[in-house]
Amino acid sequence: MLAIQHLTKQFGAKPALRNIHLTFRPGVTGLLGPNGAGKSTLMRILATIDQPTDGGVFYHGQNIAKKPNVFRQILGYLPQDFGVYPNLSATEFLSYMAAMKGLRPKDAKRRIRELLEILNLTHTGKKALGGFSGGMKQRVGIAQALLNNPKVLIVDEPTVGLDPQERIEFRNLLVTLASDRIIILSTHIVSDIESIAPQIVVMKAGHVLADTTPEQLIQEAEGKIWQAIVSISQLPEMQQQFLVSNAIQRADGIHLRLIADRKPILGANPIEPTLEDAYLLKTGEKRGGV
Amino acid sequence: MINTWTVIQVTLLKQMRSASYLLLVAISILLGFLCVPGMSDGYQVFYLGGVRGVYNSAWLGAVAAMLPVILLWLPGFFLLRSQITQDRELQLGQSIASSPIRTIHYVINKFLANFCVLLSFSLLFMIAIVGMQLLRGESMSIQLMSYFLPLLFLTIPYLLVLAALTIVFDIVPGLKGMWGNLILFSLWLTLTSLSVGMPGRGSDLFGTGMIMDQMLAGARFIYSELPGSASFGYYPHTGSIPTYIWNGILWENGFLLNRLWWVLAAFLLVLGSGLIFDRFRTPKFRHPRQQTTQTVSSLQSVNLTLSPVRQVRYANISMMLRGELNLMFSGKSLGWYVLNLSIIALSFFVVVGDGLKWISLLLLLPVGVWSLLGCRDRIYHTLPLIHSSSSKTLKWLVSWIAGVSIGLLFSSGILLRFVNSGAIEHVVSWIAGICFVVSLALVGGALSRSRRLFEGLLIVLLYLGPINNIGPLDFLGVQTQQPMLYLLLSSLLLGGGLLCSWLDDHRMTKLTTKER
Repeated sequence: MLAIQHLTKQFGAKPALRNIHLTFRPGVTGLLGPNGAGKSTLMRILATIDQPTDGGVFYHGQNIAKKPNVFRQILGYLPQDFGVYPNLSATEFLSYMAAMKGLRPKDAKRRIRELLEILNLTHTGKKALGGFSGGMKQRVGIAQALLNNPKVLIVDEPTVGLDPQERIEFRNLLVTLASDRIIILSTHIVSDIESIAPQIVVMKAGHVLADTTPEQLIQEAEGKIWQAIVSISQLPEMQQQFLVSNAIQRADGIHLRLIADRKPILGANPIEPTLEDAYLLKTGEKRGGV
Repeated sequence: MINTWTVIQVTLLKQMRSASYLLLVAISILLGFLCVPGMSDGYQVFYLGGVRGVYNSAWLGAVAAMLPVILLWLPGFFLLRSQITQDRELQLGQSIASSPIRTIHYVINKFLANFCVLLSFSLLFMIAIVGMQLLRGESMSIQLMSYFLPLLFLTIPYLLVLAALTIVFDIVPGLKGMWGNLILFSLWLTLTSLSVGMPGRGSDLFGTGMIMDQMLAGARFIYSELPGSASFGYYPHTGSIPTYIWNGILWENGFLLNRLWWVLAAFLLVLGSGLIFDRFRTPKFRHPRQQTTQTVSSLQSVNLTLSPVRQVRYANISMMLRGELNLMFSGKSLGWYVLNLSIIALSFFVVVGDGLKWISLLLLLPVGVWSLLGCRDRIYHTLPLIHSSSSKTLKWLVSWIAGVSIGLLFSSGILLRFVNSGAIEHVVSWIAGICFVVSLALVGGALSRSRRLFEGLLIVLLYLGPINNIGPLDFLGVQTQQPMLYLLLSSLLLGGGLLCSWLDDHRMTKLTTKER
């Protein structure tokens, strides 16, 4: 169990995280929030890169700050932005990272071979990382995070650069891994976590707005999502007054999904909320109605 | 024109907000103070055989023009030599390349921006010197033209050439790295020699020789027994210095025409660079190791059966060291190995004697590897991966050991030679020097977050120390052995770095032990 208690992080006078309490158990936890919510800051603290201003992170009751190197042995981290050494091949780079993680050379060699196969990087052979595409580089990043069979896997916006097929397969990979380890997946793409995360944490402006299940989050949005058809000239006004979760142009006008506590306009019909609607409801501010 | 001004403004702002710029500004102001010593300060900066001019606008205007010319070459160059490369590294290149700006305009804008940054140093220095004229109070009449004309005719053409060189060495393939630094340094030595040997001629970019000759001629008009040459440096003296009134530089037409040629040369260099600038295109030729297929099919259908891995309980230095060394040697061609091994082997046959100072240039071989020691993970953006995987303290220590190992490997020929000749004192001094250089590389890279500071420092240190044996700077002990000093300095640098990384590793403990 990984517990965050009273966690606060300030950059100068600006608070990035405000007194956060969270508990992560084995399985995938999706961390959702708009840009600037503090997700990456939280991830970097969990990954022992940054230090909190106050509070702590406890793994099985042990403050990870006391012995960060012990925690790093069971930690896998895929940052949002990371680089690679352009002159190394995938195997060489992973060997270097295995050395940094203190893996025994024999085990490292075997594990690298397996990971390259799973992530379909075997064919890259001795080709240097400098020429890899974004998706291939991302897969090397995933491989390095899995090198030490981590008990805690932190992945920050992992599907950036992956094509749709790769995104699906990456999600499947996380589900397979999740049975016996804590996986924290940060993203602002709701569909990335909808199907795989039994726990969702929603953050905004350094606060935790929700620590719940997707079902619970969706339930909270029931009766607040509306569909309406408006003319194109009405669209700006709608956008100003309500949270619009979707707008599709059709022959009969613009089909809008609106978030509002009450019926927003005459002719609007209530519809079933999705996780994306529920997320917008949680993080958005406009909820007016007629 | 508006675009050009915007680029200059942005470049100036970017520089002015950097620590290197502020450091150079502070040094300029300090130099302004130090280079106009009072009667009782006990030293001179321009040696005219024991006399100097009264501190009037003519004398100080010449000083304000000459000093930047003498001192700004290396720091100015290293500060500005990578402005275009930075655009590439920051991935701004593709945005610039896809914008309508013409290639030549972009290059000229960069050149003018670099020139303006250099000019800002000269102007700051000049303001400091004007302040010193008032402070010293030997002449309270400020003659603006006496300051302005030397700036216009002497400093500005020089700064234009220097700014052009920052562009040339940023664009021309092969001049961007360490060899470019060496060529630039050699060019500086050559131009300095030409300025001293043939003052006022066409090849005299610095123009300082001509002015100092005129200063000396003025002095000899009154003190005829003075020696026939003048020089610049630190010259201590006792008692008061005789002074004379110097009325300023006589600008000869030939000299002014030569300055015009240098201005033209600067623009030609920039235009030439603009013609070969690749506008951030992906290089046509890639090293064979960098060619790869861009479309490899996606993840295998997930059938995750990973074998167990065992980690050593405490991080294993030998494994990390092996990883570091592999990384340092990765991507090197066969030619690189052949060349370096040949030089290492040849160094065994060096005769231990007067010519030993030149063998110190051996240290230039691994400089590309060393200069990455303290900044590699910042340059390649691998810092979060490394810091979440291993101890910063241990990583620092392992990097240092790897750097020293590389140094010993490249020095193995000469070290064997020393042992063979029974010159044990040379062995100790050389190893102390390697320890010092590696510590300097680590600290320099970590502080500046770039490889340029260390590369520049090493070239200057090699030139001043082992080759010219100035003061206590012979860190390799090829002429003057002082191993204890350099072992102490290495320990301080290494220890300081270790302490900082240890504190960084453990700061979290201190902050979060306030458990509730």
